[in-house]
Amino acid sequence: MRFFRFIAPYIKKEKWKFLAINSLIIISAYAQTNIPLSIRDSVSRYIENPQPNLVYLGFLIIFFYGTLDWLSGMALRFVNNRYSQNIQYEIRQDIFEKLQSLDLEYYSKESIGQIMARSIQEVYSLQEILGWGYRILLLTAALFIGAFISLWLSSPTLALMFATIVPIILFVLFKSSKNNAEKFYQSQYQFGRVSEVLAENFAGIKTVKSFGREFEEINRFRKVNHDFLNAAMKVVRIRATLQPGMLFLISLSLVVLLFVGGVFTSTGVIDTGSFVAFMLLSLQIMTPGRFLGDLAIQLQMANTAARRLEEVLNEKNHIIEKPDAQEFDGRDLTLEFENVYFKYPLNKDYVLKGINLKIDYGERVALIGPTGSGKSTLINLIPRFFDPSEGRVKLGGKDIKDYKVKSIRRHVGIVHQDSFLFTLSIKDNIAFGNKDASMDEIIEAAKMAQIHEFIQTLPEGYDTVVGERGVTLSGGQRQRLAIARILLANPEIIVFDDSVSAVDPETEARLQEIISTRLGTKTLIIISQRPSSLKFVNRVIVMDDGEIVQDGVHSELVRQPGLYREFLMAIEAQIDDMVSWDSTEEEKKDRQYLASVLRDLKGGKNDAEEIRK
Amino acid sequence: MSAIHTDAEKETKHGDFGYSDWELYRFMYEYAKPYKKEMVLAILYMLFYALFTSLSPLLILRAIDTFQAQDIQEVFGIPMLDDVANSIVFQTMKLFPNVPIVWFQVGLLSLVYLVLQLLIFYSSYQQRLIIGRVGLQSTNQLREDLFTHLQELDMSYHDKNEVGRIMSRVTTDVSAVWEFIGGAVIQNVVNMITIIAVLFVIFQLNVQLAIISVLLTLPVFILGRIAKYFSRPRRKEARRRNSILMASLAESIAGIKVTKGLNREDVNIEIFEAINNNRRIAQLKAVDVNATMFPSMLYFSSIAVAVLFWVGGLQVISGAITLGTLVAYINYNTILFRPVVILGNFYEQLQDALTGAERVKALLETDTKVPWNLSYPELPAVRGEVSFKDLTFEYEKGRPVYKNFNLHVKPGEKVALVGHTGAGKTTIINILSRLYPFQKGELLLDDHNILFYSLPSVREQVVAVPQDFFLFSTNIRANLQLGNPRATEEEMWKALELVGMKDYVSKMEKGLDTPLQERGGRLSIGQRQLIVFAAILLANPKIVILDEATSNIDVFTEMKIQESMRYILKNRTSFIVAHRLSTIRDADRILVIDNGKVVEEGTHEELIAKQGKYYSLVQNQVKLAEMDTLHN
Repeated sequence: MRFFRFIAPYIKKEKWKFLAINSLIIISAYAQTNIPLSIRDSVSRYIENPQPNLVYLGFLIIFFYGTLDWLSGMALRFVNNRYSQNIQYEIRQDIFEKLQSLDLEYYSKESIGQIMARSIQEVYSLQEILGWGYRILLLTAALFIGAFISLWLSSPTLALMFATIVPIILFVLFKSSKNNAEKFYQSQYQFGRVSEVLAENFAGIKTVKSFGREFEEINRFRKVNHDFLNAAMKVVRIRATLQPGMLFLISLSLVVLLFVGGVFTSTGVIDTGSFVAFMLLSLQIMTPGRFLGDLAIQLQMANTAARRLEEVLNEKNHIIEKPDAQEFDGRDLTLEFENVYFKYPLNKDYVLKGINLKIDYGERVALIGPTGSGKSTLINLIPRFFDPSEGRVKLGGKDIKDYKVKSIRRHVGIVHQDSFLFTLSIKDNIAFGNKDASMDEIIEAAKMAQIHEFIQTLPEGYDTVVGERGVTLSGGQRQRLAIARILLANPEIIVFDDSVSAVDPETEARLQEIISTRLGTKTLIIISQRPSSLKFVNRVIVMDDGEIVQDGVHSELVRQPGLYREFLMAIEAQIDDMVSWDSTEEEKKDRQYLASVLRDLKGGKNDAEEIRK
Repeated sequence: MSAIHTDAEKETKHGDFGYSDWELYRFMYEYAKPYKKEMVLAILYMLFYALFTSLSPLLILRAIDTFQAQDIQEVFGIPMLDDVANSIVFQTMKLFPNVPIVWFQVGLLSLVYLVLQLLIFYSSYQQRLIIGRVGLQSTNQLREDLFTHLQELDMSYHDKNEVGRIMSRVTTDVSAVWEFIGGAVIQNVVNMITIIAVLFVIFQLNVQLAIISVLLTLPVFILGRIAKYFSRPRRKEARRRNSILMASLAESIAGIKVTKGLNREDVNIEIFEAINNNRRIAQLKAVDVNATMFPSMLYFSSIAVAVLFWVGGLQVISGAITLGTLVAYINYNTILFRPVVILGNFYEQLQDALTGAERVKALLETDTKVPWNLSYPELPAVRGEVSFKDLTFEYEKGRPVYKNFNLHVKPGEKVALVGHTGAGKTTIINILSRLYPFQKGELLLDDHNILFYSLPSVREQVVAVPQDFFLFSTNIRANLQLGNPRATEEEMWKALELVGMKDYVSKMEKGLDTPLQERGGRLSIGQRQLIVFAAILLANPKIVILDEATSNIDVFTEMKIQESMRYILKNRTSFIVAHRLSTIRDADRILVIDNGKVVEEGTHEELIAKQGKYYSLVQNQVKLAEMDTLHN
């Protein structure tokens, strides 16, 4: 069984508890078997010699075994709870660690809904079988063996007849789990689909409402909900059959006992006391035995869960570290792309087509180009979020695949478009990549990112919790926190991927000013659509449709025909549109004023170029 | 870490929702009601089941007494049945003359026992099947009702409740209710019937012994009460810890890129370890209550057997009862105690179901402030005139964002809303798109008060695009259908062509059916915007409301978008929260919003001439767009 294979290593870790559980179950079964047997003994003795004393003795013996059963039962459950919770803990931990190690390719094809369903619901399915399923199984088995032994001692024939039920039960258990596995999987899978639709609907509820598409969504939900119903209905039938079915099978053994035992008793082969005892013994087996049906179901759910969990745990990472990978020491930070092609797993078209690019350490590069031209994809290759389909990305002249992934990521920091914050305090969010940072360093980074003043206005300052459950921040504030986070991590190559879009103009200007002066010799790559960003760079790379179409300094590119020039012209046209009004004297003055503003800005740019030279 | 989550489960903080258990049972019963016929049938099967179950020990009693007394003439001890039995035995004996008579009599007894077991199996099977189906169907209905209700709830609810939390209502909590309808209650009805049947039989057999069993069940109920006292708070804590674990997991998945980029995996694992461990501890505290109480309850069953043996044994010696009766008693004792112990545990079992029902009921009873009003008339086709009259709007009680706000927009007019972040631009959009309720005043479309018409009919003519519009992962077709679910293939391609996306989409591997990944992740931000525009074209509304995304779009895409935008806004009244120069420039009227008021109003030229707030806003915008010019 897949489940046993899956769970074995976890049981190994808890082997002492597992041993204790088994011993306690046997003690429990021993006590439970002895209750009917002591009744038998008392009855037999009574038939020989009817004396009230024997009844008192019988009472005491039964009471003793009852107490033993009670104490072992409690101890058993205590140990079992710890054993089961520990194993669940370990599995969750393993799943989480695996999820942390999986690369972004996995996340690009699995939805959050499905990953959650796999790692939360499926571990729950194991809880039942670990919590009491196994206990019931072993107890039933032990009671069965106890009954068999006592039967054997009285009448081996009867014992053998009684035992014929075992293979029948095993056969049914085995057969049903084999035949029904798919139905259980379907039911669990369909439930996952329900969660997926839910997750997406609630995340996009605003859009749904804005378009007034609630009723279409209700229909969509009704459909998956119905599919789940159909799948679950099949499971209901299995449940309804298995649970009473197992009880029926066990009662068959009682029928055998009744028939053969009855004949034996009337012909004097066994005494009445034994007959009574066997009846009671098999009734005793029924108590845990009635759960065998549930157990069969639990086993199937556990098998399904093991399958879905293994799918996660066995998921292959596409970013593989070579066994002889070295630490990247960061001494030579020349970044090179060598004939890089890239396409996403689901797409047929290449997003990057033969990129050749060399960026020296300390360069400040602007990466511009139409949306969808491959800029973000290109930079995602630097920290090995993805590997190129063809070609190589090199650092210090060596393929980055030859280095340890973590050592590369330590030297590269990307501020992403969507500034994701965790449900942590602002302090911890800024220190996300550097948990040992001192408060002074955190404040310093926040100051650089132009967010310190804002943080101070919050009632709890740096301890304010942000993220989904925390204080609501504006887009610009989130972006600045994300910038502070990277600045604190202090990598040597910093990439801003359209990460100031929601920051207001004045703040942006200050931010860029400070960053550009404070970054020292670090490599800086800016992806932006705002021309204002171009003031701080000394090289412009223009991408279009997965290729680099232009590469040079602003003053050269601007004179060449090409995308860059068109880009600037388009912007110029827009500005002209905004500022070209000259109907009145007043308006002329405005225009002159705006023109002077533009001139100032140009001056700044020229200074930057001067500095570079 | 845990301090962050103190607010995670607001419902535990507020304690309960104020429903009595009885109200919750009634609520759950409502969903089982449509299946009355099935329920009656199931109860019938349960009755049979209880009857057969309580009869079978009697057969064993007969067997023991008969075989002990070697008196095989009376197989059942009831003259009429014995006549039938004996005649059957004699008939069959003729067929096998060499087999001793005892075989047939014992065989007959066993056969009857077997038939009884078959009947038990069958009635149990039927009962479970019916109940299982009813449980599934009714909770499915409940889930659907919840979903529908969530669709109607306005944004003020959705803003306050994270996706994960709402999801747990529709999945985990509903499943808990299912356990109730399909499991616990039914099981306990069976148990109750069984107890009654067994009590009936044992009091018939011997009153003294019956009283012993009954008396010893009382401590079980007392233990049940004690268990409830200890387990309720612990279970709640366990649930809370569990939801923290879920939230942490969800977040670490959503933020995986940041984590990886900053080499933070190890720290995350450490944090998760703590959360995972806290969950384990809370869970253990909760289940340990059961570990103590359950065996203790069963212990009374063993004590009862011992006492029965003592008292009954003395009776057997004195000849008051037969040995078979005593054995049957001990057997009945087991049959009686099992349901009693489960009933004693009933409340504990119900904890989760009740908590689930409580939350679900509370959600269903949360009223939407912007109801669909499906029974109201449909809004007739409007020309697109919009008026706000003395309108007051607040997100939080007592803190109005707009007070007695007035605005009149002519049909076909393009209105741009500008102003600083937090000035209240988006709020106007929120009022217009009916995502939030306004408190006072009137909102008129032409001369129709919007409140008097069904909401879906209003949204046919007024379409809003939120700033953070959401593309569904399904495929492009489904997203275009956001605009018009009945749009034909041809219309979709036409719309895509008009917004300049036709070429791109037709190059994708499955065309319109290409899946888009979560939140439309396969498309760039600009492309996503164009898809939404295509959806608007398909919706063909009279009034368009647009909250421009702040993300930067390159100037070429922007020009493309601009062009499409001009196209989609043609002949429509439009309200645009504008972030781009070009959008502002295109507007017929610009409203400068500050602090819930229109502080400036007019065309671009007029406002520039005024040199007020708009003027400085434009200056900033120009500064952003500016860089070295071609004439450098």
